[in-house]
Amino acid sequence: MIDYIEKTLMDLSKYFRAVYFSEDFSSRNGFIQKVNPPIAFLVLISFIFLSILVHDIFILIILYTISISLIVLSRIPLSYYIKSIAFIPLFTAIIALPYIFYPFSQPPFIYKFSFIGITYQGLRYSSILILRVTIAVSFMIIIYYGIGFQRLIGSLKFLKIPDIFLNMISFTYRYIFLIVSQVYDIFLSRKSKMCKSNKKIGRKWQSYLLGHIFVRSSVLGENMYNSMVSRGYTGEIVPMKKNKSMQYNDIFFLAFFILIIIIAFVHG
Amino acid sequence: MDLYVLKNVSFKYNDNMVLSDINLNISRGEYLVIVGPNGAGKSTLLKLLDFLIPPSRGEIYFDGKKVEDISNLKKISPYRRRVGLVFQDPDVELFSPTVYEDLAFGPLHMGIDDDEIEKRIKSVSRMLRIDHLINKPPFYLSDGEKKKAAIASVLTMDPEVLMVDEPTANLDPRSRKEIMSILENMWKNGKTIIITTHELSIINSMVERIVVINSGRIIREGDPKKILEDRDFLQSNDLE
Repeated sequence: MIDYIEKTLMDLSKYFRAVYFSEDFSSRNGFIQKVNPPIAFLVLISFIFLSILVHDIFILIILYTISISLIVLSRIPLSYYIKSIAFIPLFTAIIALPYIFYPFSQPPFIYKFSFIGITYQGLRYSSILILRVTIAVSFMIIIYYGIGFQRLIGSLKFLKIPDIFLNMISFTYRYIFLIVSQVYDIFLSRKSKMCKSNKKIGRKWQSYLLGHIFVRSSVLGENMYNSMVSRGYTGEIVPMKKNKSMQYNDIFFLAFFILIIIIAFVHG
Repeated sequence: MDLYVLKNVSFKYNDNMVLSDINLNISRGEYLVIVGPNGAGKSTLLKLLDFLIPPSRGEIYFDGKKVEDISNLKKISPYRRRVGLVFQDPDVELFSPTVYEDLAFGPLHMGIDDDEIEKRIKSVSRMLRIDHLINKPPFYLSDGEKKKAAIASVLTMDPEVLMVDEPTANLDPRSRKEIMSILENMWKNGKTIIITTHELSIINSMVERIVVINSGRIIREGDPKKILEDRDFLQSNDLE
């Protein structure tokens, strides 16, 4: 149990460090990085909605190809992308596995076992589900790593998303890494004092740890808020004003991808 | 005229009296050190001076005006932009994906334009010798670098008053020296410097006045030399 907690905390800590490190991608000289952030955000989020609405596998494959091309053009390393999302399509595939037999016991079968078999319709449904999830996650990766967190918040503000939501997102983002690091340090310090495993003591300190995390998170949240207020925060989101004004390439980007979205929507 | 005037200020947290009857005047351009053992109420006093918490009793005057209604963030903003507080734990100050964004946070919220922010970040980061860290995520920095980045994040606001809570806590001797020399330069450039500490070794000849706090009360204030030479007094207050 303790090893499980350690592993979870370590993985969480590593994950958030990686997420912070990945902010570097948004400052690269790539394709998405050159586009006006609100425009890029609008187009990319439209692709996500489109992937939900489209039923044609061929169109979905094209959308996936577009997402991969954008990842490459935006100089987001493919290895990083694969590592970030690999488990998501895999997990979806496990969930979608029973669907390959749908409709149950009804031909035509692609491959028949005994009384059930893999049906064409079932295979199509599962493939659509896996593709939709993979496409949505791929575009989310481009939004996050290509636009970057601060410019993303700026784009959301530009799109008139209420400050209360943006505050919540920003604050959570700022806070979560700190709390994960602190919890991990607390865990290590406790572990260094434990010479041998004792389930009863282990359970007891797990409950202490939970209580302690709660108190620490509350204090940390208060201090962070105070430090923000101390530097002029008044409850209003002030994004980094690095959004450029609309350029010709932004208009071209918007027009081109809207055209693709419309064609895909009509045909899919 | 005094920049700060505190009249009979007390602060109560739940039922605990953290600060009692604080009477303190701080002049513009002064280098003041608030000394006291752990839990004496030093950090709470700085939070009061930064208008982050309201006194439970008493009055605070800043630049001749009584400071009231601090819960109204917009109303208190004109005062707060003149004062900068560096917290003891730099982690609570460095919460953005990169050091650059942390340095930009204050000026952005003051409504300063992008070009000026860029200029300030360049100048402050060069002065504090952290320009090579500017695009790094804050958690990659060492404790000394974090402290410098936290100070830089306040200096980009160009406050008249710079308050630093325990500037040398958890730092190695070299980083301590660097941080103290930064504060001295700030003071020489005309800023009012207020720091808290329980380490008497960092108090140098530049310091103009020491205020000693213990159990939430000011027990002595005055010339640093005289106070530092009074060993019995320091020992009886857990400062030596």
